Amino acid sequence: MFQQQLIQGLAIGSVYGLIGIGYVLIWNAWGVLNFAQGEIAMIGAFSVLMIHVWLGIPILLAFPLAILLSMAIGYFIEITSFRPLVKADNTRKLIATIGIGIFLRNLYRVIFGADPYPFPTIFGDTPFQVGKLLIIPQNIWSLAIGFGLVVLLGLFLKGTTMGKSMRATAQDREAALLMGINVKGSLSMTFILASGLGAIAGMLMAPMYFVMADMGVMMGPKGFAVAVLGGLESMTGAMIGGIVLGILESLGAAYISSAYQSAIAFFVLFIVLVFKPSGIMGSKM
Amino acid sequence: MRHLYKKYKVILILIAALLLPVFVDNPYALHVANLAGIFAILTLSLNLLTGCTGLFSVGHAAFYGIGAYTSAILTVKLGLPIWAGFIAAGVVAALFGLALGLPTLRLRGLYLAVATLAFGEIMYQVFVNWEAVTNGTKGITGVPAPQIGPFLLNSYRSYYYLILVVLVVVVVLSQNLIKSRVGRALLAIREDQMAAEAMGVNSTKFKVIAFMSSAFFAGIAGSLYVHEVRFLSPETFISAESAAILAMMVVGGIGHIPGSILGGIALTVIPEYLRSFGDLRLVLYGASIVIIVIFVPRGIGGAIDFVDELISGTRSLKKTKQRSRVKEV
Repeated sequence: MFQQQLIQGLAIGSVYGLIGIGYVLIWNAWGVLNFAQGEIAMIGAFSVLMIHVWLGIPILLAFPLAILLSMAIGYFIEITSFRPLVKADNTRKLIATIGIGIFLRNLYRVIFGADPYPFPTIFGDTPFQVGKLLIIPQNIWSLAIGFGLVVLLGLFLKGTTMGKSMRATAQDREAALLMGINVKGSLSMTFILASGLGAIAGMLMAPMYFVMADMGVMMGPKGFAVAVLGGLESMTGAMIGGIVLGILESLGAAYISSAYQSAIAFFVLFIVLVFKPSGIMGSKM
Repeated sequence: MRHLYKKYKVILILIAALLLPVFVDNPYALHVANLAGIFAILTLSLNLLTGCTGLFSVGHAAFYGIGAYTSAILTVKLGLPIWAGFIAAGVVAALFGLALGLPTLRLRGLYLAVATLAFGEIMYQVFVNWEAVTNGTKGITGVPAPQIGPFLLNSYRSYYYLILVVLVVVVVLSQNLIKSRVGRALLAIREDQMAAEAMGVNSTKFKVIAFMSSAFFAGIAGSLYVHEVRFLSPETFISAESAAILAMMVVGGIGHIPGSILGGIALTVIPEYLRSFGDLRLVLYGASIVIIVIFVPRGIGGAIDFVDELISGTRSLKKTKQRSRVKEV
């Protein structure tokens, strides 16, 4: 029972972690929290629903197509509403992202209706047995994809020219510009990458819950919370934060009360912050 | 002329506000006006916390909800008079403000924001799940309308005046608070907490004061809301609502009192005005927030200052610049 809940928590937690990493990437590069990150996850889930379920394109092709579509929408958001605010103060940027979130959520509600759509399990949900444990393939895949992406992202940021210029831009925009780095391109790339990650999170989330226009409202705050819990600047931190929240949620639901599932998780989060005010991996106040 | 304008502008605005229901006959429009007034109070309350003290809150709907539930439960379930519910709404919300403010004193910027977010989520789940007290998702029905002597304020028009009175009181109180020693201390904390402490400002005490007074006004707004719509459902207090209040404050201009009022009114009226667009209205609402933020940098408050200074002939850009400065979040 305990291990079962642990695996469930790890799987959901890695999805939260992916959304949190989206927050971290954009925070490092832009100095803003993108409160539309949950909506990007929602777009990712809807993209797979459209391409795979409705158009009947096989999943191996539908997955990358849906990611590309979400990235394109992310890029569109960036040039229309982030680009004009590059020099604005943080609070204004933040509110702009809230506005975009409301815009996207309701746009999708107008297009697809408010009802939840069932989503077929892509990785299969017939559990298999390992020792005494029943394991659902979906959970293992979520976990593997979540951690795999963190590793890949780390390699990309440290090893490639594009990744290095993104990190340079995040560190000091002006100095990067003076060194001849394409700052504009790096900023866009960061945003596109964060959108892609958010979309993948949405796709992983979709089979566990339903797909609906409001799913971003639930996922966005959790991604934000785990990003801050992890110290806001560290991707590893966000992933750890995600795992912590995921496990707290599933243990809370199993042992205390399923109705108060996320309240318990947020309460523990609150306590963690009270005793460790700069997050798990945070260095500065 | 300039002298007269300076002296009478507040009175002119008040007269306009008093006369509004005389010219508006449509009860629906009056209902929207009432909601706009309630959100103006709510935005002002957030402004005390975030605008003046720099404490970033993303869970303000929780205080609003606590006020609304306190008032509804006391009047419907316990049968207490509405005025008791009204005061209790503010007091209970303020106590929750104390309970949230004390443990989070060490948190700054976004870490505080997450703590308030967590608080908002927890309170929402309590509203939904604590069925014995809050009736859960069924909500509380049959909330009574307030009565002053022989006047039963059950029409939107009469309720409008009640909200107007409360709004004016809240404006006067927060204006006085900002201009008093407490307000200067809050401002000092916002600009630089360490420097403020070095100057002898007790940051603990004043942060708690900011939390409690902000929560108190939000609770009052919640009580006004529940006796206006006469029905209560937890959906009103989801965390997206907190984001909406935050948007009202920023669109209005952070730290700016007339701006906050207009921000609250604008973002309540715009979606209602867009109702003819059907489902598209919230899409356009989201887009208009983005457009306002991009094209009106200092919010509505900045525009008010500009016009105000133009008429009274005292344009000093330096002063307004300082006012719109906000500590990094």
